[in-house]
Formats: sequence, C-alpha cells, structure tokens
Amino acid sequence: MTEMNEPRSFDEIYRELREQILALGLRMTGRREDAEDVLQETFLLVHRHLPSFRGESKVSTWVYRIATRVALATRNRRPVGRPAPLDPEVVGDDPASVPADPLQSKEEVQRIHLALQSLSPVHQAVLSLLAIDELSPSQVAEILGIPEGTVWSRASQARKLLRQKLSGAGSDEGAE
Amino acid sequence: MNHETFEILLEKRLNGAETADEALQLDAHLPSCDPCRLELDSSRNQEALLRQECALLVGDFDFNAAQQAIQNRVAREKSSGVAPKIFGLLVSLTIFWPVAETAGGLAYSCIAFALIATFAFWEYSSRVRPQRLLASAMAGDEELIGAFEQHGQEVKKERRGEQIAALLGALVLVAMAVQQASSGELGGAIVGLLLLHLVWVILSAAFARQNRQRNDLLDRGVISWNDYLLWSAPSRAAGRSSNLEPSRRRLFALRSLQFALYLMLLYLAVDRGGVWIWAVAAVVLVRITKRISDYRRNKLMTPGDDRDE
Repeated sequence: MTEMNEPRSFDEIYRELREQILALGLRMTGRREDAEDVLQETFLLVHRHLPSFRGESKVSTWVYRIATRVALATRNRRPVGRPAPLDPEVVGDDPASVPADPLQSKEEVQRIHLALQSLSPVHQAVLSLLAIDELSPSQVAEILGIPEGTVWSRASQARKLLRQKLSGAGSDEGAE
Repeated sequence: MNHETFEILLEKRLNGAETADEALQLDAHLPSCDPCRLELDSSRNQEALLRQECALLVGDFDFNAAQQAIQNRVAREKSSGVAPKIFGLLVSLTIFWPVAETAGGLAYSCIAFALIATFAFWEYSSRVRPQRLLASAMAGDEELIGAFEQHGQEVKKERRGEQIAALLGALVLVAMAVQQASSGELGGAIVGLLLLHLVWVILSAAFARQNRQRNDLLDRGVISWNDYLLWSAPSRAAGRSSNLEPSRRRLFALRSLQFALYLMLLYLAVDRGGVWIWAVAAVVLVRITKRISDYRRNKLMTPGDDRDE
C-alpha cells in the first residue's frame, strides 16, 4: 500500500485491512471469538481516534500497531496453556477449501498454525507482520516499537524456532 | 562475518530487503554453506504455508456483521440513555434544590457535589494493571517492557495531578459554601452555583486534556493506558475480552451531575429571571456549539452515529 493510496475514511480503512487484522487476531489468539474481539476492538479504537490521527505514520502501520497490542492483551487474558488449534469452523471440513498441493494440506496448515502460536508473542508478531502480512521492516519496527535491526534478528530467531517446532525439536520457547 | 549475520541476510532476502552489497555477500556465501542453502529453501516453503494459513484463517468471515457490531458499540458509547437523566433529576431535587432556598443548603449541596465529583473521578486512580498486563504480554522483550512501564508511570503522575486539582477545587467550594452559609445571603447561593459550574468546567477541561494525551499516545501507536484504565473494568466483570466498554459507573455519575446542574440553572432562570435567562442561554449555546463541532470532527462514517448524549 503506497502512501498515496492510504485509506482515509473509516470505511476505507476497514475494507482495506479487515482481513489482515482478523488473520492477525486469529493467529495470535488462536480462537475465533478472541479474533473477532481483536477485530472489533481494533476498529473501535481506530474509529474513535481517527479524527486525531496526525498522519505521522502510515494509517496501516497505525492500525496494525493497535491490532498487535490488542491481540497481545487479548492473548494475555487467556490462561496460559497449550496453544489453541484452529477452530474446525475456521479451517472447515470442505476438502475444496484446501489446496491440492500436499505440502499445503489442512494438516500442514494446522501444524504451522500451532507452531506459530507456540512462539513467544514478540517472535510471533514479527514473523506474522513481516512474512505473512508483508509489511516493510521499518513498518514492523514502528509497530512493535523496536529498532529495525532488532526486527531482522527477531525474525531470524523466530524462523529458526518455527523450523524447530515443525521438525518436532522445539523447546519451550513459547512459555517465555 | 559470523553465521548469525548470514542468517539475518537470509531473512532480508526472503523479504526482499537486502542491499546490493548484502546480496553479493550472501551469494558468495551460499555455495559454500549447506545449512544456509537448506534454510533458504525451507523458509521459502514455510512462507508459502504461512500465507496459505492466513487465507484459510479468514475464510468466509462475515465482515459486514462485524462492522455493524462496531457501529453499534460506537452508537452505544455515544448514547447516554434515560437512566442518568432520571438519576440527575433526583440528585437535583434532593441535593441541589435546597441551594436556592437557604444558605445552609448551599453548604450541604457543595459538600454533596464535591463527594459525588470525587467519587466520579476517583475511579481512575486505582488501576495500574494495564501496563503490567501488556508488558507481560511482551514478556522476554526488556525494551518494550521498559517502554510500557515508563508510559504507565507518566500517565499515573498526570492522573495524580488531576485528582489533586479536583480535590482542591472541591475544598475551595466547601470553604466558600461555609462562608456564604454563615452570611445567610441568597446571593451566596448564586455565587456558589457559579462556582459549581466553574469546577465542572475545570474538571471537564482536565478530562479533555486527558483525552488529548490519550489520542497522542494512540497516534504514536501506544494503546493508551487511559483507555485501559477507563474502559476495562466492566468487560472483566462480564468475563468477555472487550476491554473498551465505557466505565458505566463513571459516565453515569458524570452525566447525572451534568444534567442536575442544568436543571438547577434552569430553575434559577425561571424563578429569578433577568440575567439568569441570558446566563443559561449562553451556557446552552456554548454546549450546542461544542456538540456541533464535536460532531463535525467525529463525523467519520455511519449514518446513525450522530446520536449523542
């Protein structure tokens, strides 16, 4: 999203970013109802504070920043325990809803979802924003309030940990 | 260059963010390093899976219903409801009414007003959990924890200042009330009422300043501690995660007092006439102007959102 194409009205912002924010919520909380809360609370805050948004950062960065913190707070309210698997209603039982590629089967998606969830919030957020939502490193740095150099090191650590989790050699990093 | 540096370069390549120099360094390194090559390949597969996960996550979610729910919540926040007005009417009858009749009533009214105002504004002193809550959510990241803690401390200090100001205002009011009560003059009651309104304006200004600070924090991307402090309690009680519901007790108290004060001014305008009618008209005009300006500033999207308190 270029700066010129930045959405300005609430409706535009909602239409532009709703899928990403819901996915971020689902990924970081693992529960559909929590993710819906993240979506609602994020856009409620956006609605309330858009008039005072001074445009010092991109709107999308601002929205992601709010969503990330709402998601972290929501996740934190959940009792610490095992990572939550995807709701069946999210993945669905319809075989057509998953691609033919065996690498990308429903089980694989579940596996990567669980592995992602077992990472620490910071690693999860970095990987999610950088690799999935394809935000720029400077945006991720701004969203998480960390230096850009730290984004790269966190992303690299996160990817390594994710690989370990997927290969079954993961530590208890997520409990940190 | 150690291996960890190449891992970061790999990450940059995956995200298309490497510089020409970094690309050369990595290209020179890859042929001689099996783990790095393997890592690059597996990360690319992983990336595809992650994006697939994202698409599946969103699925056929009903975004229109979610938007409607958001709009309903916005409308609910803005709507004051009838209950505070009824309560305000009772307050005005039982507490403020005596003001116009006897000077002793002024002292009683002022103390009651100060107590209710303190009750209304006291609430946001006691909770400092949110910054800890968010900080612990970011456990493992000292920098962020430090930043959150610092923000929490700053807001706490600001809030303490506002409380002290509100309490001092209330004390001045009580002192004035006692003085006027001893003189037994009805003029004292009128002065007292003016003071009540002045305190109300000061408290409102403090609240508005707090909102501006919150907006500023939000604009800088830090979810405001005020938001959490002011809006978190009811949702926790309801057991749902919604931490942005307004603190109903506080809003209720504020709106009741506001309404009671207007009723009292109206009574004085009708009963005493003359300059009071102009005073009330001026207050109402200011309020209406402010409402219109607020509405224009907040006019963002939805028809129906213009319901206001």
